[in-house]
Amino acid sequence: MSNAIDDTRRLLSLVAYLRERPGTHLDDVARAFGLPVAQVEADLGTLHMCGTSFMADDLLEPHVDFEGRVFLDNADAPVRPVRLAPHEALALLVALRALAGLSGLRERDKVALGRVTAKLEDAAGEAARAAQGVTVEFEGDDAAQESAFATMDRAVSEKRRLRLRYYVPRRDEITEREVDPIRLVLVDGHTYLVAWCRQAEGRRLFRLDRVAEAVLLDEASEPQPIEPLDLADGFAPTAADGIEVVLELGPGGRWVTEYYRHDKVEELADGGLRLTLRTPDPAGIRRLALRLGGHGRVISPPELVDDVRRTASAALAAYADPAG
Amino acid sequence: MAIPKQERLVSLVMCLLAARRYVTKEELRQSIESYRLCTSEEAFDRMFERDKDDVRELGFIVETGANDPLIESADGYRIRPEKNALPPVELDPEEAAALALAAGAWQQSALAGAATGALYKLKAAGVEIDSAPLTSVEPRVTAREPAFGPLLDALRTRRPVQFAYRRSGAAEATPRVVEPWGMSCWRGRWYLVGFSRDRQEQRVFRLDRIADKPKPKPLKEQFRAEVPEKVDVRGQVARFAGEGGEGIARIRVRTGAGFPLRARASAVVPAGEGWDELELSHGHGLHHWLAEFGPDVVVLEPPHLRAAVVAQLREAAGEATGQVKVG
Repeated sequence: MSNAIDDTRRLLSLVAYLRERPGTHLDDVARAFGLPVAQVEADLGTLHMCGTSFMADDLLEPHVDFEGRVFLDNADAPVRPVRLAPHEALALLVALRALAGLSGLRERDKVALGRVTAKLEDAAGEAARAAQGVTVEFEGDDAAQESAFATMDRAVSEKRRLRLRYYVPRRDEITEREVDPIRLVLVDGHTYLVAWCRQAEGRRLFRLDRVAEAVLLDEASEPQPIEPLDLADGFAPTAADGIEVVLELGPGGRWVTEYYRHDKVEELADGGLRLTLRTPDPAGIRRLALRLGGHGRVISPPELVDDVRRTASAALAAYADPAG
Repeated sequence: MAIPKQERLVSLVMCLLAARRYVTKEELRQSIESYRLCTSEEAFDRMFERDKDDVRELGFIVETGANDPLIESADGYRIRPEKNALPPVELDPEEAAALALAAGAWQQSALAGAATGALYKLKAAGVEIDSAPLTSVEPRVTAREPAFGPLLDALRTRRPVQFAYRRSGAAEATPRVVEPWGMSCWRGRWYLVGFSRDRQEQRVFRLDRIADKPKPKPLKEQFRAEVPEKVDVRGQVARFAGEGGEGIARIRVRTGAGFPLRARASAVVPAGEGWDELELSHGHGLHHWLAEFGPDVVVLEPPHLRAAVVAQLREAAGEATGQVKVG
């Protein structure tokens, strides 16, 4: 997606806005568009160079008077707010419909979503058709966790501390901790609580479907000020430190590359892969090896190879005994 | 220094909007400075063709025609203001907050610009949209798959697309021709549902397994298969991903272990000696997940699931004979 296109959308919208509302204060223009004042000023500078032709008489003449009021002179071209493009209508409508499907949403918000969806469909007209074949579902496995969702939603809005019983998959264990909630994020099919973990003394993400219990405490939450998360890649795991593990995967295990960040991947002759990764968490790789069964195995380190075998043998013992 | 593209696009739009007749390409070349500065006819043609596409992407209907009906060639362009205006929209604060939340969901995705642009257009029309939150929840749609944009275009214009697809477990991608019917984002992944011309039936494709940039077939090429009245994209995708129960499994889980299994179980009963008994509905692939829990999970029923887990564990224990798949 080109930046020039985004800039053009904004510039044309500014022209349309100012033609209708000459003399609006610069601050109000910035507020209406949710832009920094400096950006509006820069855009007015750009508009100086735009017009129905490059002849001086045809160029726009934006200016700001000494009281900070903005005027757009020489704007004879009938630039009005433009109909929504198909992609624009699609982006809004698909997201609105997805939001309306959230299970933990208050009834009032659901109704508002319904109203605005209908209004937007009307306004978009033909362009709304593009949205018909596209759906997004924000929630996945955790849609059933309504009560935990409601508790965490309340904790965020009332700025209160939470006590969590939280499942750690690599240890297959429930841990207890107190956290100061920052916000709830729905991404990649899961609901995450972004919170300051008082035990770990750091920001942590808690996946809703791993919350065994959430208790609202009376203490006010005091999350440490931290940089917002960059969600451009969803919550893809970051490159890890730890021990180096080599896995050999059959064709049926190639999916592992899509879920585990790795340092190196080599194609094998039989359609399989050799994958090298680093992990602070060998137990997680043991679980992966058990999940893979015949579709992959650990090659190194030797301790982990043994660990997988021992665990699998121990599990098999239960099946050898007819009592189960 | 080159003139920024946005200046050129704004001027082009203004010129075409102001015209009360078709403006010829030659006139545009004389009116818009970037075009006038093009060093060759070819460079101008290329630039102008791209700009026309961009202006259409912005939502404008660019009409082509000639002012003189006797002239065959339609070398003129115009944008009729009355056909391109946004109809009046009035939103109350709650509706505006809902809209802001929806637009924000696409932040940092391929549709971020489109979502923000839509809000600009509404704001230009005087709709007040501030960022007072509707809920404390921030939804995010990620659309990082390179195939997303091209498939969205193909879906909108109803054109068959060609792409290279790597099936699960396959090393090589193979070419496919698909008539796109719908797209769905589910559990953070995008899926395409459509008619596969290769298989002659409805199929589901994962966008992150598309290995190249999908190419649309020529405009004149139509869909061959009839598009169903209602395409159940969501249901198709769920079945594709192994959802939907094939039956009920009874398993034993060690006390305190296997929280996610318990969370999904329809029944949990203590079975004594440090074990609980669980009932789970199972689709295909459950045995992989159960094996992950090692000695903390024992499958009781059904027998084929029990056998599948045992086979899986034998492989992991290095006891399997015959069908070793790697190495």
